[in-house]
Amino acid sequence: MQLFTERFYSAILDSIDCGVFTTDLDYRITAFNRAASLITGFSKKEAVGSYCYEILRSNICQTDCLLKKTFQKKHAISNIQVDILSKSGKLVPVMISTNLLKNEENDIIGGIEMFRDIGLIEELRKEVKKKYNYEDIASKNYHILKIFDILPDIADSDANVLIQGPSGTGKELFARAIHNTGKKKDGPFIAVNCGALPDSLLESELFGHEKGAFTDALRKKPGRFAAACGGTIFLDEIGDTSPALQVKLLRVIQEKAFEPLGSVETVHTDARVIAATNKDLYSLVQEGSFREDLYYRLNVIKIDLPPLLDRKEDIPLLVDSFIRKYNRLMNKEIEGISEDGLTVLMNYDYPGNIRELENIIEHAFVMAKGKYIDVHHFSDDLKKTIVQRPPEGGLELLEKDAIVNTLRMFDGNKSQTAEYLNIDRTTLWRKMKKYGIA
Amino acid sequence: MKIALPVANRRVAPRLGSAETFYVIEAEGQKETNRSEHTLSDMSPIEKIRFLKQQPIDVLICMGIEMGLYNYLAIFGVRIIPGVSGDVEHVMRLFLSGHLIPGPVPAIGMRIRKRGGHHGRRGQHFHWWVGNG
Repeated sequence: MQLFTERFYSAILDSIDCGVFTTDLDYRITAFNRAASLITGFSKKEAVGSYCYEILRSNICQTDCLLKKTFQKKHAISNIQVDILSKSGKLVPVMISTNLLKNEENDIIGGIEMFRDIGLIEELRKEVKKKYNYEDIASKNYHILKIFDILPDIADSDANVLIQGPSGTGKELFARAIHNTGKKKDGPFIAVNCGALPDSLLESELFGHEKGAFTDALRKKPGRFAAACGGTIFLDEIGDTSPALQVKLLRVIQEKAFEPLGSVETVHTDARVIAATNKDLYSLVQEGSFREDLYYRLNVIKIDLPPLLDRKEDIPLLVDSFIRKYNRLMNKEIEGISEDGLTVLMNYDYPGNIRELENIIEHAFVMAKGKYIDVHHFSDDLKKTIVQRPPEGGLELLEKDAIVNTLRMFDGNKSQTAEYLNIDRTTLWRKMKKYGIA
Repeated sequence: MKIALPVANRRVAPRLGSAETFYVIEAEGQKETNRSEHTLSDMSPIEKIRFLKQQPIDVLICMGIEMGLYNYLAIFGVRIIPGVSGDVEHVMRLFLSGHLIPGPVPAIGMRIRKRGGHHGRRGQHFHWWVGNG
């Protein structure tokens, strides 16, 4: 009878869409449902008997445990938003509620915790508010992680930053990460694409104008520099600005002051300037199409973002990230990608960089009906490139690259390399011999 | 050799980025020679690992570790032993005697469908292209 009751309750728990577990008074897990397994990545077998904080691993487990509060105050707590660390190392935003677990005599025998994955809501919120930070920059590339290493120092300073990199490499994402972790994070982040507007319009957009300053100036309008006061102004495609506008930009960067169009009054701004370009700004200086003094004013700190072609080891991470994003946005349940599909993606050159990879995955999501993305879900344009240039070496080449890069990362240390790649040292030795890696 | 551990209630703290206390332990051979305790509660996760990097530590023993922090420390040559739980003193004894068994490293969550219908497991290591075969 007891076995039947246990099975009955277990079946009910497993049919619930939200993660549920129960604990005893020592915070050891006594029951763990299927949804809890899916969200945390831990199996029921791993979870039952473990301390709840070692399975849930939320950001408040050690400082502000909700279950502990529930035990102390003897009442339920509802809908507190936290993030948990899944078994695979991913942060999952969840909404948690807790309550007491009582026996037939009304004695407290433990606690119950329920949590819902609110990743979709958070993804959309992030998309709307653009509150990106370092955790949103997915990479295991040496150059990106070196940049990652200095980003907190850059964010802490007020220095101007110049971000160079081809289109689609995430220049704005880095700019937002610097802003969102810097001293001016509570101020506005104003992005202006200098290449998208004609010169006269750009000037009025940046510095504002008085009523009647020009034919269509029907009312006074403050510019983006004024709007960015106390925050950051991000000047994208700075290399496309005209020499006349460069002079005005130089003045506002040097003196932190400017005059709106048609005005004689000086407006002051303390906005931090982050500029970005997909061109080599120094070459433009040498050609004479970009002012040298403005270049040096902007180039206090320079960040060079590599094209995706030079950080192919990040492709699986990025594909995983986009699959999660589009599963949420399109309400699909794509589990992954076929080996052939990933090989195609690893062999493509990505002239459009990360933005192009995201477009490829989005296209495949629309086409895919099953659980996996495959080559036939890719666009005809991408498939044409496969026909034109078949993968050379396929997975073996990727494997060789992974070994060479990891050996380089650990200064040739084979033990660390084998551990990082999760293979035996002898397997590493055998593969090095096979690929002729000295 | 310098070893760092995030600590909570004398156990290995469940999550590196949220840990408030860290032990930095110096060891020679199998013997602990020095230990210092650092309270980093005011620091962000990235500031915590930069602090550890500046010590500089050779080994990090932890339980849960955010994938970004793992990549960051690994690239700077820190040996990371993730997935370790339990009493800190017991963990240190196991480590110094060479008997500490690491858990899985942070991994991407998607599956890679192998040719011939064999499916990769959820959470397989993100260094998926290097197999043991």
